[in-house]
Formats: sequence, C-alpha cells, structure tokens
Amino acid sequence: MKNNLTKKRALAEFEMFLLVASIISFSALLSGIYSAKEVSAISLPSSSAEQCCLTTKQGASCIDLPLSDACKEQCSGTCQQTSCSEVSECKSGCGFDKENGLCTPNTPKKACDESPSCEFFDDAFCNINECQKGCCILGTNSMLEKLSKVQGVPSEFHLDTPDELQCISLSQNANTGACVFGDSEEPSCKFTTKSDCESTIKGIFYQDYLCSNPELKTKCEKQKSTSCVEGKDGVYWFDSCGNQENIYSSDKIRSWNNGKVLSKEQSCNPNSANADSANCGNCNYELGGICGESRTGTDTKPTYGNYVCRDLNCKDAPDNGGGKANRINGESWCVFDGPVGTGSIASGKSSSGLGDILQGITLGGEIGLMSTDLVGSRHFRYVCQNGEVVSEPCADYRKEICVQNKKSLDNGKQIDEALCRVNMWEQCISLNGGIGSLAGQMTGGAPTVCGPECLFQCIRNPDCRLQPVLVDTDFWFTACVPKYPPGFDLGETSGLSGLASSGLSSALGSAGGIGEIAGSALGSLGGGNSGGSSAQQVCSVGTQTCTAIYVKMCPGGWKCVKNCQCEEIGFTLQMNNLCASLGDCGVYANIAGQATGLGAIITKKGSHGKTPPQPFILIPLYMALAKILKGQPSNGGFFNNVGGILQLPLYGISSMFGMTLSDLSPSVGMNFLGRASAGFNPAFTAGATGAGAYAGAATSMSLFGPSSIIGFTGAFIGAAIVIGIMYLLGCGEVEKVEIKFECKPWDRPFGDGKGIFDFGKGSGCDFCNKDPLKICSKYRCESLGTRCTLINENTGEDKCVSIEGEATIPIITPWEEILNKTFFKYQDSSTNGFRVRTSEGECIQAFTPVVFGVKTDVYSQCRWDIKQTGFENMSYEFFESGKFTKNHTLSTVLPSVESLVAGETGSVEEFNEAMSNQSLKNSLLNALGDMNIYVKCANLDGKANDQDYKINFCVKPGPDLTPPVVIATAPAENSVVAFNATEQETLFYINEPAECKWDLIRPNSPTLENYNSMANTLTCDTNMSSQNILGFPCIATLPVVSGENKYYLLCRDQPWLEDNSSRNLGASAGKEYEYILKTSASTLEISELKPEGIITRGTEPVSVTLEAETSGGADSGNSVCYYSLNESNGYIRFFETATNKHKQILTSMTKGDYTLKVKCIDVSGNVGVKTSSFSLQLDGVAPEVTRVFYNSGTLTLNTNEDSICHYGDSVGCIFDANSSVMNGANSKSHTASIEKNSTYYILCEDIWGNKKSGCSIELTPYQT
Amino acid sequence: MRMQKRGQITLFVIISIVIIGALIIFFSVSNTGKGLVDRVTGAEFDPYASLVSCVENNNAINPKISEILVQGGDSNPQHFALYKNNKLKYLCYTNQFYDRCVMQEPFVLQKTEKEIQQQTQKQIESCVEELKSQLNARGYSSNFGRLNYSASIVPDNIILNIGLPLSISRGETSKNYQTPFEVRKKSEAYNLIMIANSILNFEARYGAADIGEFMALYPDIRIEAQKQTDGSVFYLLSSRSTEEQFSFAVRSVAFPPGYGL
Repeated sequence: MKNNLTKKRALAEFEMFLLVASIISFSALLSGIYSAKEVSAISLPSSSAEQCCLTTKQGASCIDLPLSDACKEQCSGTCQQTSCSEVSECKSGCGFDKENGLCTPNTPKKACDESPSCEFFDDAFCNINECQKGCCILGTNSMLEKLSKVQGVPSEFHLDTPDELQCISLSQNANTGACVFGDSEEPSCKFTTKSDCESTIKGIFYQDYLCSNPELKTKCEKQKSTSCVEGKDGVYWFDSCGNQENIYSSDKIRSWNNGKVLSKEQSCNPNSANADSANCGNCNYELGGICGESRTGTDTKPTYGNYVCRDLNCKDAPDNGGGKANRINGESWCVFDGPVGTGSIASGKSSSGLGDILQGITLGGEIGLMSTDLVGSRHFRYVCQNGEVVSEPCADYRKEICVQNKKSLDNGKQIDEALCRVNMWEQCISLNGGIGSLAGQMTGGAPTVCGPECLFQCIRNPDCRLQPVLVDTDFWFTACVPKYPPGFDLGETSGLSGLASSGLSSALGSAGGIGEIAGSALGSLGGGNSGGSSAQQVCSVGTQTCTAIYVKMCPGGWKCVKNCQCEEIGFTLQMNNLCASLGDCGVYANIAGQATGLGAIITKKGSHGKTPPQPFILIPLYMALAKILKGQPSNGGFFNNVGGILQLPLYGISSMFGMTLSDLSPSVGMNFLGRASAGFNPAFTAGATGAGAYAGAATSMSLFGPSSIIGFTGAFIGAAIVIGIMYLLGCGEVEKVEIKFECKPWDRPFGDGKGIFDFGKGSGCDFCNKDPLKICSKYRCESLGTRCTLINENTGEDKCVSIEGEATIPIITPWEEILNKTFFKYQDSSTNGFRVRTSEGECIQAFTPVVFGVKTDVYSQCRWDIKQTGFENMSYEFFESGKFTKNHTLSTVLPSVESLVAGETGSVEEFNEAMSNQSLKNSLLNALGDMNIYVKCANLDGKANDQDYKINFCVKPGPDLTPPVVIATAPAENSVVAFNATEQETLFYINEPAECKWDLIRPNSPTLENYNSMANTLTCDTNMSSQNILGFPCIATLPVVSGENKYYLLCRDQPWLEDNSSRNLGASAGKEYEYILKTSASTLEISELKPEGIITRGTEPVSVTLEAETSGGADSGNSVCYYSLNESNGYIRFFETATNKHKQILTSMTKGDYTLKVKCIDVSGNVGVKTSSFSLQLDGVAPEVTRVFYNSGTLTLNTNEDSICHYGDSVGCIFDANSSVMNGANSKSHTASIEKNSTYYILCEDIWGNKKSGCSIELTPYQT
Repeated sequence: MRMQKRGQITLFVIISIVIIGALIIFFSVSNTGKGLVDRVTGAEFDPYASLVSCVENNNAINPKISEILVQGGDSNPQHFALYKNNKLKYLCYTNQFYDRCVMQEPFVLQKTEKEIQQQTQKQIESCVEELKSQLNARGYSSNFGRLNYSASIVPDNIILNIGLPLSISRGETSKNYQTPFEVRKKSEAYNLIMIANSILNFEARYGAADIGEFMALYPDIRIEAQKQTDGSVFYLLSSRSTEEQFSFAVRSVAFPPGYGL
C-alpha cells in the first residue's frame, strides 16, 4: 500500500500537472463571442462605418475610408461623414462623352462634371440608348461602335449585330469588286464594296472583278507585289494601282483566277495555317499563321514578294510536370505547381471529375483522400500568343483556379481552352451543418456534420468535395471541404484575430470584478490581424477528439471496447488529410516539396491505451506526393467560361456564418459567396447576438465537435489523478481516453527552407525565382521558409530572398507590460525564469484568470510543456501560435484541489474517499503549490535555447470562501430579442464550478432556502475540460414575454460537496444576479418596396434598382435583407444593406413580369417579409401624334407619350441640334408659334430615342 | 627651292579646300548662310514646311509621348502602382474588397491628348522660335499670331495640330498663313487606348476582364494582365508592329487572402 502511494506520488510529481486551464482556443471562443455581431445572423454596424474622401493624397477619387484617423491621414480634403454612395459628387453613373461618343460606366459625378463634353446618366452600367452598340461598316472595314459615335458619318450601321465577331464577318462578306471611275480612255480603278463605289466614289461597280481584269481596260497591271491587308490573315497580291487582288500563291495563274475574285476557301491550302510556306499565302490565324514581312533567319523567303505567313504556333511549350507540348496559336492551358484538387495517397492520383462524385457518393473512397494543392501554390493559365507562350497567373492564395475545356476548331481539330475563375471554396465550408444546440455541445452530443442536403449540395458544387473520416464504428463523419483549399497569409497568422477589449465587454456584458479583470487584461491583447486570414481559427475546425472507452475487466485488466482504432495510424492519416484540406493547415508540403511537421499534433488524455503516431511521420509521404503527382486541370463544372463568370453575383461576401434562418437557404449556383446552411437550430439562433451567435460561431467554427471550441483544460491532471484515485478505489468500471488531433496552421520550414532531400527539384528561397513564367509572389516566397521574403513586391522586379540577421539563440525575459500589475507581479526573475504571484507576493486564488507572457530579443516562435523536453517535442504553443514575434502571450485559470478531484470522481463517496486520502491530498496540494511550465523559443533558423525557461505558479490553499460570480453572459445584459420571441437560450459564465438556479422572482436574500425554492435549474458544465478564460458555462432557456423581462440567478459553488453547508452562495458580489432581456418594441416591417408596377425602358439589358426600407424591430429598422426573384434559386443578400435602407442593382434584366420577394432580419431575429410585382417593358415604338390644332398663331400638338418635338421647314424632317423645338419637351403636350399658310414638318422623339423615319406629321395651318 | 615652292602650293591648296568647305557648310547649314543665299537668289521660303520639318525631327517629342502612354495616359500620375520603374496609373480603383472599381479617369483618350499637348508644348514653341530666327536670317519681316496647339489621337496616327497665324513680307512680296496645319506621327495609340477603354469598362462593370477575347480580335495587340497580391491588375498593352506600349493599373472586385475573417 505504502509502495503504491509512493508510486502515485512520484507519478503525480513526475507528471507536473499544471492547470494552465485556459490554453484554449482563446481566439476561437472569444473572437467568436466578440464578433458575435459579425458571426450572428445579422451584422449591423452602427450608423455609417465609413467616411468618404473625395480625393486622397495619392490622387484617388471617391474612396471610402474607415471611421478613424485613417481618413484624416489619407484624405487631401475634408472627410465626409458618410459613405461615398451617399455623397452627390461621388454618385456613380454613366459618363457619356458627347464629343467622342464614348461611354464610361461607374463614373463618379464629379469626374464627369470636370469634363465639359461629359453628360452624366444615373445608370452606372451605361444601359442607355446612347451607349447601345451596333456594327458600323465603312467600306471593307467594320467596327463595333455606339450609334452616337457614327452619326453623321456615311456608313452602314447594324443595331442587330452587337457581337464583334459577327460584325467583322459582315464586313468581310460584303460584296466587293472593281470600282471603275475617271477617264473613259484609261479609267482608274479601286477595289472596294458596292456601297462605297456607288455612294462615295461614284464609279461603276463590277462585282467580283479585279481591277486588273482586262475586260475593264484599266491601267492597273496584275500581280505586281504582295502585302498584308488590314483585318485579314493572308498574304495578298496587289496590282500596279495598289489594289488588293487575290490571295498569294506561287501559282500565279491560279491565284489571278482570270481577273476574278477568288475566295479564301478556294485559294491554296485553305485548311492549313500555311506557316512558313514559300508558295501559299492563305494564312489562317486560328491555325497559327498570319501575314507578315519575311524576316531573315526566322521566316521562309517566299517565291514572290516579301510577305509570308508567319508561324504563330508554339513549339515545345511548357506543360505540367515539367513536360512539353506543341500548342497552336490562341490555345490556352492550365499549369500548376504540383498536384491540385482531389488526390489520393493510396491511388496516387490527383484530379477532379467523375471519380470524385463517385467517391463522394459512396462515402468510402480511399483513406488517403485529400485536397492536394500545395502550400504556396498557384494556378497559372498559359496562352500561346503569336508564337510566344505567355503566362497569366490566376489570383494568388488560390482565390482563383484554372479550369480547362476542349474546343473544336472549324477544321475539326481540338485544342485546349483554359480560364481563371473564382474559387468557390466558401460555399463548401458553409454547407456543413454543425451542432444543433449549445446544450448538445456542452454534453458532448454527437456532431451532425454534413447531412443529406449538405451532401447533395456538396456534390453539385464543382469546387467542393466530400471528405470522409472513417476511423471506427463510433468515430466517423463526412465533411464538405474545398477541393482547392484557399491559402493563408503565411506571414500574418495569428491567434488573436480581431480581438479588442471594448468589443469584448460589450458583447459579453461582463459582470463582477473578475470579468473586468479578464476584460482589461485580455483587451491588451487586442489588435491582431483583423483584416487578414485567421488561420488559427480556421484550422481549429479540424481539431477533433476521439474518445476511446476502456473497461476494467476483473480479471483481465483494462481493455479497449470502443473507438480503439483511434489509437492507430489511420486516425492520424485521415485527420491530417482533413486538416490539410481546410487550407494551409496541418502537416503538408510546399511548392518546393518540403514538408513540415508542426502543423498538427496528437495528445492523449487518459492513462490507458497509446497515443497514435504523430502526424510528422507523414512528412515523407507528403513530400513524395508533392513531387510525384502531377496537376490535372478540371473542367470547372459550371462557370467554366466567360459567360458563366458573369453570372456570379457582384456583391460583398457576407460572413459565412451569417445566415441562420432555415428558410433562407441559398442556392449554390446563384450565390457563390455561401452562407451557413439550415443546419442551425432556428429557435436557438433567434436573437442573434450572444448565445445564438455563439452557437452560430461554434457550429460554424467547429464542424465536428465541441471540444475544439471550448478547449481543454488541465489536460494532464487526469493522467496522474485518475491513476491514483481509481487504483485506490478498486476496479473502476469505465474510463474514457481522449485522443485529440489538433489541427494548426501550416508551419513554414525554418531558415531559407533548403531541405536535405530535394530530389533535384531545388528548394530554398531561390526556388521562387527560377521560372519566369511562374512569377514569384509574397505567398509563394513565404511558403518556402521563415527567412524567405519577397522584395520589390508588385514592381515587376519581384524577387524572393533570404533575410539575414536574427540568427542568435533567443534570450527569454518576462513581459512586464502584459501583466495586470494591480493584481499580479513577477517574482524572482532570472535568466532561468520567474514566478507569477499576486501583487502581495502570495499564491493566486483558485479560479482567477491570469494573463502573462515572455519576450525574446529576436523574432522567434515559442512553445511550452509541463515537462522538460526539446523544442520540437513541446506540445503547446503560445497565443501567437506559429508567428515569429518578440512578444509571446499565455493565460491561465488555476483550479483548486477539490475541483480537480471532483472532476475525476463520479460520486460524492468517491470524492470523499479520495479527499480523505491525506497523502494524495498533500501531494496534490504540493503540486498545486509548485507548478512549473517550461518554455523554449526558436529563431528563424529553428535554433532554440537548450536551457528551459521555467515559469512557476502556485494556488492559494485553504477552503473556498468566496461565492461564485457571473463573469459574462451571452446575449449581453439588456439585449433586445425578437418581438414575438417566446424564449431565449442564454449562456452564463461562472468563475468556478457551480450549480445555478434562476427565477422570475427576486429572492429576498441569498440563502439556501431561497435558493432551493427557485423554480428553474440551469444546465452547468463543471468539467475542467469545459473551462475557458471566462469560466464555466451554464445554459438556460429563459421564457420571454413582451416588454422587459427580469431574471434572477443564484449559484452554489463546489458542487461536489452536494448538501454540505460550506458551499458558498451568490452570483454577483455575494447576492443574486439580475439579468434583463427586452423584446423589440414592434415587429420588423418592410415599409417600402420598389419597384412596383410597369417599368418602361428603351433597350435591353435594363438596369433595375431594387429598394426596400425597413422600420420597427429591435433597432429602428436596421436589418439585413435578402431578395428573391425566383424562389427556386433562393434568396440573395442585398448589396447595400445592414441599415434601414436596402439597395440592389440588377444590371442584366430583360423584359418580362417579375415577382420580387424580400425578407429582412434584424439583430434580435425579427423577420419582415414583403412581396411586390413589376413588369419590364420595352418601348421601341416612336411616339404618335394624337391630336393637333391651331389657334391664333399657336400650334398645339399632343402625343401619346412623353417626347420632344422638333419642327421646321426641312422636308423629310432632317433636324440637327440647332433646330427648333416645340415647347413642352419631354411631355405629351407641345406648342409652338407658327405662321399660317406655311408648311411645317414635325418630328417627335420619345425619351428612349424612338422616332419615325421621316416626319411624325406635316401640316399647313389655314385661316378658318 | 623647287621643293619649297611645291610645299607652298600644297599648303595653299589645302587652305583653299578648307575655306571652300567652310563656306559650303556655312551657306548650307547655318540659318544666316541660308538666309544670305535666299536673299541673293530670291528663293521663296516656306515657313510651314520648315516648322513641320522641325517638329518631325525633334527628338524629344517621341520619348515624351511614349512616357505618357506607358503611364496610362498621364505624364505624372499621382495615384499609381510601380511596375518595372514605370508608374502605372490607376484608371479604375477601389480600396474595398469585393466592390467594383470606380473610374478614376473616365475619358482616357481626352486626357492622353491633353497630356501630350502639354508635354510637347515646349518643343513646338522652340520650333516656332527656330522659325522666327530663320525668317529673320532670310530677311523676312514677320508677324506671328497666337500659337494654338493641340494633339489628337486618331486611328493610326497622333496628329499634332498647330495653329499659327503668320504673315511674312520681304521687299514687295508678302504672304499670309492662316490655316492650321498638322504633323502626323504614325502611332497605334488609338487602338491601344480604345482596347484599354473596353477593358476598363468591363472591370468597372464586372471585374476581371478576359483578355483572351481581345487578343483574338486584335492579333496585332499584345495584352498582358499581371495580377498582384493586393488585388490590383496591371494591364500592359503593346503593339506588335510599332512596339508602343500603353499600360495602366486597375483594382476591382478584389478578394482578401484566405478566409478573410
């Protein structure tokens, strides 16, 4: 017995359990709560979040800048206290250049006003008559131009030919021939079109005749020279007069064709490019040949003349995997940095297509399935252009992907055609459901990840795929993940994204001194990377815990009975594959094929079983995958052509966690921006801030389970405690072993990234500069190593270099500024470490949050552990995660001995028995009285200090005499809930494990009797693993009635003591806690909705502005609205919304009848719905004169629609801008003073430019 | 003695060659010389031809035009992105993510014309001064009206329109020149700017113009689109025949990296 106790003590002391309970996913939880307003259903900014600068110091016009000093710093004038869309000078419209007939969309009014020839139209997309294009044919030339630009110029103008290619074709197919004019003895001749000959030259036209035809007896001699013709591909003969003849062929007789026109199809080798042909000039641009002067040494010398078809094709153009291929001119194809899309380690394949669908449907696939895009990789589109291979990189960070299809040419040949388009990865994440309720989360209920609807939508989306995780019978799920995961800003990954103290307190409604301590201390951690990627946040959704169950058999010992496979390599492989498929997370390889192992780690909590192999053992596998697999382009599904891209809606990306109402589920096709699907529990998420938002955040952030959000605490406590207690008490029945896979941001290789094994591919920073067709970028460069940095960014001289310096081993010192000196201090600081104590030098009270940190003299990554070990083996990171900084932050909440023991025992008897074991208790007290964590930091080269830096804590012993305190609530106090809400799920955070009750009636005093008489009990999680920096969560569903609702909360700490009277009672300064919720004063109404009725325009497409105005609800009508014109496509968020005025411009509407449905939701979950109908009609008819009469010298004329009427004596009504206009322009009634007995010609034109050819009316007034 | 005589003769011959050469150079090259010749011969002087010749042969004009074109039609852009030591003007820009850009320079053609006019004004004026001295040297008295100079960019040419009312007289003859004249410079600037306009229109409406289609329709124009990490795109348009380049920057419908939370 004694030996066993000694053994257990040794174990306890050895394992140095440390209650750094709050090494949670701090940012995940708190930023989820802090950004409740963003993560909730609605994101409602207060008034205007931006200021408009008319002209910045850099010269940019009409720029929205944030509401801060940024505007004053950047603006050369005064900042307008509103956004630019509300400033008249910055109002966007169409700028029409009257002089040149040019149209410029999205032009600010002030820019137009500055130009005297500019006319401003409200339609920002220039869907106006003046800007309607048609085909203008002038001679043999053509141009797609606006009508306004060609008026007054003799030409043909075809409004029904808006396509450029058709227009060119029209001109080329125009009848051509010889136009003979001049001296009858020896006439001149010009080869042109019939219309040009007759109207301009006024000659005699001979269709299909060449000017050198002897029948015409012109002075032009045939086939004198060769040259190119503008707008045509081939080499042509020219006669002595300079007229174009037929296509060049060395067979002169054939090509002269007896003086008649010979078509391209009838000329030599019509189906060939004829590149470098000395004898045939029938070039074909599409096939790779075009007319050009013969270059010595490059082109073939033609038999006659100096012009030849130049070869425009590309020989040995670079292809994927280092290969080469011949490409023809105009062909485009995708090139990648390595494997892309879905790949399988087992099959060794990387591609996308039908196979993925099958794999997704069967939910089996191969265990090695993952999204294979390498860290730092980018998609490229190569184009063969006139003999040269040109690279067009798709957007970096894989924001765009390259998709490729086959295209058939006229001669039947198939070529590749590639396109960069937006990567719709967001939809994949948002399709996953999550935990339906916080209650379920707290009790560890099984997660629902990708349900049937999610599966269906995921398969439909060409950029999404299903990632099955099938480890054991009770640990399996499927998630919808991006096929091409997006990249992160590798230099900016941070665990503190978006956190600020003010937001923290307002979101949480902190209460009590402890909350304020937490708030102020945590507030100093604010800043972070609010604008960029929160890699830590994102990767943490891949953090999952598998719980294996062990049962003690007597005899037989402990045996695993459930989820035993979680201890095997399969768990590691599948979880890492999932992790790497979310983004730049986990263990994976970069574009140089170098893989790093710090992006994921597996920990085990429990004394039985084994820890599965760590993810870093997969490094060789991923390195091989990166080198061996070649990228295969996908066809991209829909949106695989330019026309498809135009269908993508053009508005800001909403929070992918924003959408919570189940009946507003979006369509994948129409909304590439994506939202959380109907997996949320609508009732729970009503009243979006706070609890709902938390759930939303939790659900969205954690695809798979609760533990990644709430985090784990006291991880190693159980390891020692359980052994001792369970052994002491005899045969335990069941023990859970929690195997946690922690998915973290991908770690860059240390130093300049030069690997030991580079397989001849090269590595290091210079790898980025090697290929001129794959330009180096910040993302690519930083992925190669911690020392790799891009210089001359975006200048065209970009280069990835290795930065020097910062090579010394880091020296660690205490970070004074982070510590709240009012309550704490560092003691006994030395080069080996320091102690954290209260400001009085005493041990810290249990359940007190402490924020502290260390500084290093060089930029470094710091890690810590409870045991002394090497840097690479340390299990835990500081809040700064993988970022190289000089300041490193940690926080902790220290529990009491009793809470530790209670967390590991199942009943009061067990607890009492454990606590009565004096030596166990003493060993725990000693351990809590002297806890150490060991810190090591590594510089940019990965060199860490050999000696551990020790940080010491101690917990103040003694009985717990302080009552529990409510630290924070969600929703915040005095929040407003929906008008018709009947209940509200609410979270209360208590600073220590406690049991709580609530009632509508205030208890007279905080006594046990009053506590027991309270009607309702909260569900509280008192497990140490549920603890975070704010404490222990308790949840309740509070009934809500109209108006103000007050609730009173009381808590008893130390639940393990059951009815023991030493339990403390309180919730706020020893008394009850009052919590208030209010309902909205009214429902949310959509007071105005436009358009309605009939809308008439002159041309298609038509721009239609949807406008809605909301009122009432929780916040004076401020809400987020969505519209639908076709319910089967779902609802789409208004581009301008989140206030009480909502606007959406639709630019490509065609005529027809439409039913517009609008739904709005405000911050409290009030919903307003309205429907309107409108009809778009086109007016292509000229105005008609309905009535005319003349009296006493005044002519009065009425038209059937608003119009402007010109009048005068011009027969045929040919009027210019200076002609007389009748009074009443743009109305239906027009008057003018005219003389009797004179004939007047009147032409009326409506506001769309419709007018009759000729006159509307001719009249001669007579004296009656 | 004989040798000395030969040497003297040789020397005189050399000196006379030098004098004659100098005289030829003087009368053919210098304005004064030419003027004297004209006076003596009574040859008529065409001031406009002289002015045109001066403008056409001015080596400073073409580089200025090239600089303006390569910087998006601006000689000194204020809001620009640096690319290979060139300032690419932002012709359409927004600082927001996901938003379409706002036109910063709605009328690029007009702006470019104005810039060319402003930047080459000095060269034109120096040619006018040169003309004045030529006229004086030839004994003309002249009366110059106000110089009215502008530049136009049209298909295939950049036209420098010089309006310079002028009356000259010498002896009993006098002439008036009122009609403005043009100096045409072969240039693909019009096509480049029109295509740039189309690209800008597309960017302002939809973001991310597809350049492949433009290049297929206009094979003589090479178009490069360099996407930058901040969401900007640098467009580099160049003529395959004249090697002229028109380049500019756009930032429209940009996406933040990663999840953008």
